[in-house]
Amino acid sequence: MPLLSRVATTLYVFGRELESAEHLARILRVHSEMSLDRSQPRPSRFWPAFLELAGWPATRSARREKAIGLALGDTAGPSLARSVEAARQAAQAVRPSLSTEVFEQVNLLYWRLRETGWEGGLYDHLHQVELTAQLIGGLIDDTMAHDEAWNFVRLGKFFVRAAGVTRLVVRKGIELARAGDDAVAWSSVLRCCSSFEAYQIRRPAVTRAEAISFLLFDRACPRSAGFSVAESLLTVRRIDGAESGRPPHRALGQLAALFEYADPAEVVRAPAAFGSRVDRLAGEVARALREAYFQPIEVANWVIEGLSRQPQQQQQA
Amino acid sequence: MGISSAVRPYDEMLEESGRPRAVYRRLHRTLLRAGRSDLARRHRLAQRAFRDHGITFTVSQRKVGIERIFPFDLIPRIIDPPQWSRIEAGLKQRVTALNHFLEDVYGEQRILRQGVVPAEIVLSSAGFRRELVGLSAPHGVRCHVAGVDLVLDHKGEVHVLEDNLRTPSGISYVLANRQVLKRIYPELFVGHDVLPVDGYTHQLLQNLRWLAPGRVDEPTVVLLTPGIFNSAYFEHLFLAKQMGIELVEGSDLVVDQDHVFMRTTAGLRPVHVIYRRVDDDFLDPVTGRTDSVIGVPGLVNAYRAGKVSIANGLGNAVADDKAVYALVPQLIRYYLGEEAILPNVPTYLCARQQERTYVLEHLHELVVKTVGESGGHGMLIGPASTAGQRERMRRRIQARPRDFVAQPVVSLSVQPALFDGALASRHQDLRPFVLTGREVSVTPGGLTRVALRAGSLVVNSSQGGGSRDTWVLGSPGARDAAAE
Repeated sequence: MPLLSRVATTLYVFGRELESAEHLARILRVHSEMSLDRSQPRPSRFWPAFLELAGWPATRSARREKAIGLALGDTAGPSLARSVEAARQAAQAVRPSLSTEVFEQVNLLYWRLRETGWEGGLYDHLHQVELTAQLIGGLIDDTMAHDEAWNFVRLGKFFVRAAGVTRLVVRKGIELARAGDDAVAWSSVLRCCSSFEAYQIRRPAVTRAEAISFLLFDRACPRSAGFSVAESLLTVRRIDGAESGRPPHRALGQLAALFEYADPAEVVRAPAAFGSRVDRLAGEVARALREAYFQPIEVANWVIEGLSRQPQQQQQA
Repeated sequence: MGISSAVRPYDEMLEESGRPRAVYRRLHRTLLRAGRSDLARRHRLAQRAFRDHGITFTVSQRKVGIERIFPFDLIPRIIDPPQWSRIEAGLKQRVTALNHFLEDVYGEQRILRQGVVPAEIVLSSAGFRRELVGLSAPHGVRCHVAGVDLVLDHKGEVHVLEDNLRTPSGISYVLANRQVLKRIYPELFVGHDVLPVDGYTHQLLQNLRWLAPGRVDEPTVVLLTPGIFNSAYFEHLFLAKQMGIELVEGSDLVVDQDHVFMRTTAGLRPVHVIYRRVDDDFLDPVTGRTDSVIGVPGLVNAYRAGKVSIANGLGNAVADDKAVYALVPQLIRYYLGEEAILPNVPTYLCARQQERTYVLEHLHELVVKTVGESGGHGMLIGPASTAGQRERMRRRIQARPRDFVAQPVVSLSVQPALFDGALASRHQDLRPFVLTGREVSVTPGGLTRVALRAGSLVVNSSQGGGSRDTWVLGSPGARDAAAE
């Protein structure tokens, strides 16, 4: 039986919010460390730039405490509290589709965030959130049937991961344009994507061009945008089964092709142009998902025919 | 409204001498050995387990939903085999008769035409749905799930206090209480042959599938919930998950040419049976409340056309009307030719002049109930009321006598409950769940609801009641072990 559209939507939101929570915890942890041990070229812009990266509207000034407070707990914009609360609410709404283990870990994460602040140590606080989100990711893979519900959770996760990593790389590409091959700065960008260790094994040294190319196009690193788009395309193929060529499939195929065939040297030179092309195609994907899965309204002909045929078939039998 | 009853209530665990009754002896010994701090620790563990498992309900306070844990008492209630046999037989008898009554009232109305019960009382019930007369239910069953509230009076005798035949809730707590108690206090179970409660969801699913209209090989059964903000939402998702059926909201369903479909990622798919936890009035904005946003337009017509089965059936409220409740012993006699095994609490119908006169003269010692209300709302508890409240109630009764019944104050039984590691006596009732399919079945035990405040008779969860695990013991051997 295919999923209820509402359930599919909510599972997608669940995967998306869980990924957003982990992403936000990770970039906040890395930025918080960066802010401590290194003199910034423009220290006054450091936290405002972080907030913009996290999805908050542009601001002229923001101090460390203020920025951390917003990113952790302010529900007026993208924050850890908002993502975790949204993930839990989604999990509650589709609890029958999730395994008990998954729901309970989400629930525990929610209560832990509500009951404990970061005063005991920001690193620990954020690291725990990341680990729990990764644990939930593992539970999703290991305790749920790999069915349509599972595919929608993964679709939410990988599609938002692709968008998040692309946004991060494009912004940093612009921000660090004059810094050249600043290995420390680009190592931090890799750490923002949990990719530093994977990078070190597969690439010789940390340079701007290599880091951008790795984070956008590496097909073996599960944190790269290219990998995430390819994974999103796979989930849609699994959801539609034999019925290939539906709009989400086509739109994601085009986005995947952009990552597959883009010229890395060109992207390193002009990251903003690449970012715009990704945004446009990602918008197409979002619309296709909405129209195909989340708000279907048509009665398929075979359903009506099947219903009216049923008694006759049974009489013949 | 904490009131104390005039007579000494029946203590289910302790005799008057303070010694534990035979069936509780082993449990009592284990609890005494445990010590205060150990009990308090386990109590905290239980609270934590409910929260972590997400077993919570939402209450509205100033338009904001507050998430609460249903308070849980560690000490189980024990029902011995002979007493349970009687309760089980009495419930089966009662629900069978009520199903006959519903089928008759919405069919030929023989019982009314023969004057066995007064037609004016039945047909004037706000729960009677005139437009459903002549519409027969699949297999003649209209009440598939009933939650019948029982109380033990001061002599320890079981009485029926209320029939809930619409969308009774609480079964998820029966199952969750058992699960949590097993995890946090396994030692309590040692030496007791406790009958399992897990069979409920299997039986319910089997019964629901049996209702599928026509000859559908693999019927699609769904549970219709008002949504995540409903106070019983946990129960809805719990049952859907246990039965492996889709949990749907009104907006997930659509009716086309009297067929019901759900909106899926692959288009619309047919639905054959709906276990609804949405009240009659909200089920369909076309026939019920036009402002209902949790219903499904056209659903009632699909039901009338026999294209979808709905459990519980529509129009059941006529049978759990508190005035009709008073007539249940007559229904049992009429439909089954038997005397009621479980007695009612004596009930005065204000619609009858003689009884109304008595009620108006004795308001200070009676409990007056509004016939269509539940959850402890719309009540006057005479002994705890002020003269002004009684006067207002008098005027209301005189204006609309059909809307009121009165009963003597029933002294609910008590049992020690655990508070801060110490035992204190609290009142309780029992809501067993009765399923009707090919056969009628009763899940062993039921939901024991416990008043949290000393002396209070209010056990409703919406008004601060709690609950505890309820054990029905199995074999006589185990009874001996428990009584050793």
